[in-house]
Amino acid sequence: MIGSILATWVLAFLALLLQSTWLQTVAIAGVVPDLALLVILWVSYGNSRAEGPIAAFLAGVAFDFLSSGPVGFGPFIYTLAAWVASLLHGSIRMDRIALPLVMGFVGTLLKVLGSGILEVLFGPDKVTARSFADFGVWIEAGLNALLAPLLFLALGSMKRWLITEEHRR
Amino acid sequence: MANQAAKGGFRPGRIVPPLLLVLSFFLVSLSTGSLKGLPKRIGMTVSGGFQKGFAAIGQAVSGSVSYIGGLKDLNEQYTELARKVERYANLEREYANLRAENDRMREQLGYSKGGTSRLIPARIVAKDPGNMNSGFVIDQGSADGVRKNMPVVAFQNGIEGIVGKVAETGEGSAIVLPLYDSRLFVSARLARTRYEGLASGQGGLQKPLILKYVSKLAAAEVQFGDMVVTSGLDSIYPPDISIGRVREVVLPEFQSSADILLDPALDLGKLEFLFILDASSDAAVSTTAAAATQAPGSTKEVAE
Repeated sequence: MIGSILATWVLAFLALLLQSTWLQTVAIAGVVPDLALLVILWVSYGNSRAEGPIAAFLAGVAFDFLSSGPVGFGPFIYTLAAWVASLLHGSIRMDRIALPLVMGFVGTLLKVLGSGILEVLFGPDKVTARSFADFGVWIEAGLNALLAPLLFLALGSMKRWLITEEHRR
Repeated sequence: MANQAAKGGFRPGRIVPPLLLVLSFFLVSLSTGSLKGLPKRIGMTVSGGFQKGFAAIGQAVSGSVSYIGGLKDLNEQYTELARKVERYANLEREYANLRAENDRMREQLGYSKGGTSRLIPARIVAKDPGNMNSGFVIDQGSADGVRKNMPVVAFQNGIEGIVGKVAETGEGSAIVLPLYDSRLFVSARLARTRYEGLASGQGGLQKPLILKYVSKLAAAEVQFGDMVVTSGLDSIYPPDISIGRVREVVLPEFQSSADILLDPALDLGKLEFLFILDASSDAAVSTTAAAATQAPGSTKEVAE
């Protein structure tokens, strides 16, 4: 369990570093895909209800250290998405295209929803939320949806590190 | 117990996600409350190093590629630069003469000589990783004299404009909150009519800035293209630094003041280098073109 959480966190942290540096040069309308979110969604789906959200929480802390948001913002939005993904575990079968696509898209919207909840609770002067009316949200959702099948396929080859033995069977 | 869990009884794993969400709330409260910034500073110091490393590798790779490509033009550029240096030497002499003349005139007019402003040049090394916040990371931190809430300026096409302020500092990096972030407020005034207001962003680079609390009567005098500058009334930003130009005046029906939409004075999407203004010298900003072209990584004293 700890190994899976650590491996997920390292992968998500690397993805966040990529997102904040190299991927900025290929951003579309200033928007980069959230690879860390996709990693978290895949791991949360593949594991039980604890590993994914814990890894998401830790990845969220790393997210906050790299961004201008308050500490706790990243953990909240990533844990929320991870929780929902973990609920799918065992109830919907993973395929190559459709489910990854939907997970990438809906996961992004959950992230935005989470930021909205925090803005309502803490006020816009403390937390900035993105609006669903913001075109960038839909660009990101589209990018994440398109990249999810590819990334999930690649993550499949790292199953032994990211998914606990119990769930690999 | 294990059997019970397998049969759908109490499973500790089920309560982990809600617990983590509660913990996240607690962290947000903590970081926006009295202990604000402490966890962030510690984390930033660690992660900032990684971020700078990644940015440096990226820059090294792209730099090497462009260096090889640009080798052919190097000779031509050298000749051109030599000519420029000669021209700048002449300009410098002229500048020294004008400066001396200016000092004499100031003295005659009885103005007191201003202090100095310390500009800390910095390079943007990373941006927000998840498109959720608008801050960007710079390569100068508390070890270089950068402190929280220091104003950040930049130069574009000969215009000095406000970029934002330092939101958090790590040892070797800092996060800048840009002007278009809705959490940033700048005390401003219209440069021509001198009416005051409060400028802030609307959360997105594509969205205009907004100047609030300008009375409707005062707004009647506002013209399209009027420059809005910092008023210097808050304790963060020195006066007369460009913020933006008037794009549109909105007069909400049930409001006593107007909302003035502004186009930022700088193209904030194109920024690479910027300057942190060390307000500890307590001086109005007066910068020179030389300061604007100074290489990052060092500091410069700029005379008022």
